[in-house]
Formats: sequence, C-alpha cells, structure tokens
Amino acid sequence: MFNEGEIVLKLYVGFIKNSVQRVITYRTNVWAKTLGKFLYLYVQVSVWIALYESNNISQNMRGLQQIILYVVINNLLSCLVEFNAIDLLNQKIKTGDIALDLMKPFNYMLYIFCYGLGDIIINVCFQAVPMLLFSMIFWGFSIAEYSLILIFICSAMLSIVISFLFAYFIGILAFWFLVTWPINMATRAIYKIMSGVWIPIWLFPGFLKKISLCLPFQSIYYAPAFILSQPVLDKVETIRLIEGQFVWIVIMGGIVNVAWHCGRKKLVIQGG
Amino acid sequence: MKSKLEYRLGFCVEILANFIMLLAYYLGIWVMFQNFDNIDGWTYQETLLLFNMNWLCYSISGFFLWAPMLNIGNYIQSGEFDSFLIRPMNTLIYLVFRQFQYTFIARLIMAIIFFTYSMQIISISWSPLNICYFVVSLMSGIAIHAGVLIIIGAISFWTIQNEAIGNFLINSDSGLRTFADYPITIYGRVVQAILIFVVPYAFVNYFPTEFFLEKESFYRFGYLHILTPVAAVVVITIALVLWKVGMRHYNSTGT
Repeated sequence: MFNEGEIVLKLYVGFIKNSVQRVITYRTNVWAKTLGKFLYLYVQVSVWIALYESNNISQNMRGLQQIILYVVINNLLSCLVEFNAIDLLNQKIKTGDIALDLMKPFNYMLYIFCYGLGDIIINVCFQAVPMLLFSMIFWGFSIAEYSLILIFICSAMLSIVISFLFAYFIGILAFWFLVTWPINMATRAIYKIMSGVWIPIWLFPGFLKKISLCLPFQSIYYAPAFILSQPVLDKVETIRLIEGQFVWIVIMGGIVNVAWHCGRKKLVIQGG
Repeated sequence: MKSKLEYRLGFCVEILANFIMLLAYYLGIWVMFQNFDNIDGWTYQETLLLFNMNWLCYSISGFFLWAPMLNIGNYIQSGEFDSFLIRPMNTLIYLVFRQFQYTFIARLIMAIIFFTYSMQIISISWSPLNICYFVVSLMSGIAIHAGVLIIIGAISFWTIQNEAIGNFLINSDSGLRTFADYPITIYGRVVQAILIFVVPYAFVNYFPTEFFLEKESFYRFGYLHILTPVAAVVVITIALVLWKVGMRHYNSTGT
C-alpha cells in the first residue's frame, strides 16, 4: 500500500510534469527567449571587452577573463533562478481563483514552486546548456579549482530558495495592489542593479555596496557568481557571501510568512 | 470620485516606476564609468545620450503603436478585429486612435525628461544645419521604431501570436533593440551589418549622435549618417506593404 509520503511526492512531481508540458507547448516562446538570452550575453561580453580594451587597467583591478566568466555564470544562473510565479500569483489573486485553490489539500507555496520548476527545467536544458557550450568555445570557461564548483552548487541552491521567496512575496502583493505591473517593473530595475547581474558588485562605490547589502538580490546572483568566477579562493569573502545567503533565507522566509498570513486574513474578510 | 483618485494614484505610481527604472539604468552606467573612462572612445555623457535617444524614439513610437500592434493576435482570436475592418477608416489609423495607451504617457514623460537631462550635460555645437539634421534624425528614429512595431503587428496576420518575435526585436532586457544602447563599434562585423542593413537600429541613435559628437569613428562608416532618413523611409515602406499584404491574407483566409 502507498504511504502518505509517496502520495504527496507523486502529487508534487505531477505538478512539475504539468508545468514542463505547459512550457513545452509554447515552443516558439522557448526558442525566442533562448535567442534573447544569447543576445543579452553577447551584448554584455562585448561591453566588457570594449571597456577593458579602451582603458588602461590598473593592477588592482580584476582581469577581463574573470569578468567574462562572471557574466557568463550570471546568465547561466538566470536560467536556474528566475521564477515567473509572480504573474501566476497576481492572476490567481486578482481573479479570486486563489480562494478555490486554497481549499485544496496541498501546500500552496510548494505548488507555486513546482509550477516555476517547469520553466526552470526547460531553461536549464535549452538555454543554460547551449550557452555554456557557446561560452566555452568563444570565450573560454576555466574554473580555478574544482572545489569552487562544489561550493558554487551549494550557493546556487540557496539562491534558488531566496529567489523563490522574493518572487512569492512580490506575487502576493496582489492582495493589496490591484495594478501590480509598475511594482514589478520598478523591482526588476532595482534587482538588475543590486544583484550584480549587470555590473559586478566589486566595481560598486562604497555607499552602493552598503545599500546592496540591505537587499536580498546580491545573495541571489552575486554570491554564487563571484564564488565560481574567482581566480583564487577567497575564503573570507566566500564565507561572508554564504552566510549572507542563509541570513536572507531566514529574513525572506519571515517576511513571506507574515505577508501570506495577512493576505489570507484579507481574503477571508473579503468573503473570498 | 473615488475612481478619479485611484486613476491619479495609479498614474503617479506609473510615473514613479518609470522614473525608478530609468534611474536604475543611469546608476548602472554611472558605476560603469566610475571604473572606466570610456567605452570605445565614448564617454559617460555620450553613452547616456545614446541610450536616451534609443529610449525616447522607442517611447514615442510605442505611445502610438505598442499596445495595438502587440495585441492584434488577441483581437483576431476574440473576433474583435473583424469589427475594426467594417469601419470606414483605415484600419491601422483606427487601431492607433482607438487605444491610446495612456499608460505609456508615464514612460513618455520620463523619457523626455531624461533625454533633456542627457542633452544638457553634453556639448554639441549647434549650427542651423545641425539643428535641422537633429530634427530629421529624431523623426527618422521614431519612424524606424514605428515601422518595426507595425511589422511585428503585421506578422500576427500569419502567426496570430507575435509575442515571441516582438520580444526578440524590442524587449528592453533581451531584445535586439538593446544593442543600440552602446556604440555599435563594440560588436563584430556581422552584428554591425545586421544593425545597419537588416534591422536598422543603428540609424536611430548611433549614426546621428556619432555625427553630432564629431567622433573619430565617424570616418569608419563614411557618410552613412546621411542615409538616416532613407533608412526610415525604407522601414516604413516595408512595414506598410507587409501590413497591406497581411490584411489581404487575413481577409482571404476567411473569418
């Protein structure tokens, strides 16, 4: 006989399978997004190469190879870490569907997570793998030590959790805001800067570095990307980054819990 | 009463969101130039002007065309499109005026403000010829972007959904349009050729600003900047032809 654990596992695996199928049916979108990611990577690397070649680089600046590696890793990470759950959550809350969903006997957050995994699995297969091969051929992709890969994998796992929690939080803001796309737009812009996905945080002036520490974004992209791209293992910095990731998981977890609780109460009061 | 207040509040939020978005971009470029002096000979102010011109032309053309062109697929699927065809007015013009995307106003206002700022921090010697060319290139830039949007819309007549090709061409994060945010000299020859001859985004901002700023690289491309209005006319012509062909195709396949 099946035990309860097996049934629950099958349920969530089913969600993931459904999600993957959902993404695959929009094949043109997958190809278009993949091409878009390649274009973006090309622009970024071109910019950094041009910057390095047009200027005198002082000795204490990091090398071009490290920045290219950093940029490539960030693009690979973006396949792993981006959750489009925001749109789904927004929609469900606005249409009121969520009231029905919440009556079902599964953990809603896990459900949304599995929904997002569909995109991620497809992205990793169709975007990350080709981009990695492409980068290896055109720009090289040399990791300093093998131990970095292990630490990177751990860091990336933490990143996925933080990224999901943040996306979930923004998604449930729909409980309070009817029109959420401006919030999404502004958040994405701040995210792009403060996560280091565009400009590495080691290039930030002091005050900006401090600001980025007050936000979870650098724990999503900068932490793992820095760890894997460093030419020499910087133990102090690596430990600091990983610790930061744990801290942010706790903080975001707390924020999401509070917001979710308040949101559900609002739903009940509205007679949803 | 309440809805008017909500409307105004919503508008303020959109203005703020657009402001934050442009500010974030400026911040990134600023950080970049804190560490580097120039990119292929282009300074901080010059790179900003490049970005702003691209963004301004995109915003102006998008104000008229973004919503109608990206939604044609939805109109076709819902059947609404047929009701547009019955009107005695040219369908394209009707689509533009029917849905004045007021939400783009916030984007447009911010684009103009930031563009004005970037113009103030740059030094250009203004002669009557320069002013003339400036107006022409601005209008050409808007026309090129408008043409691209119309082409994206026309594609819907065959594929219904045009989100994918739309994103590829104009998306602010990963589209071809963002190539023009930087001087095209940083790219390989093939990409440059695409940006000049296939999707002429280089004519929107790169060639005009290269001319105004009297850059050395100017001579690398010869007098290509003169062709800016030509590029605009070509793109618009192709766009309108494709639109006509698309409409005919739509009508002939039956509704």
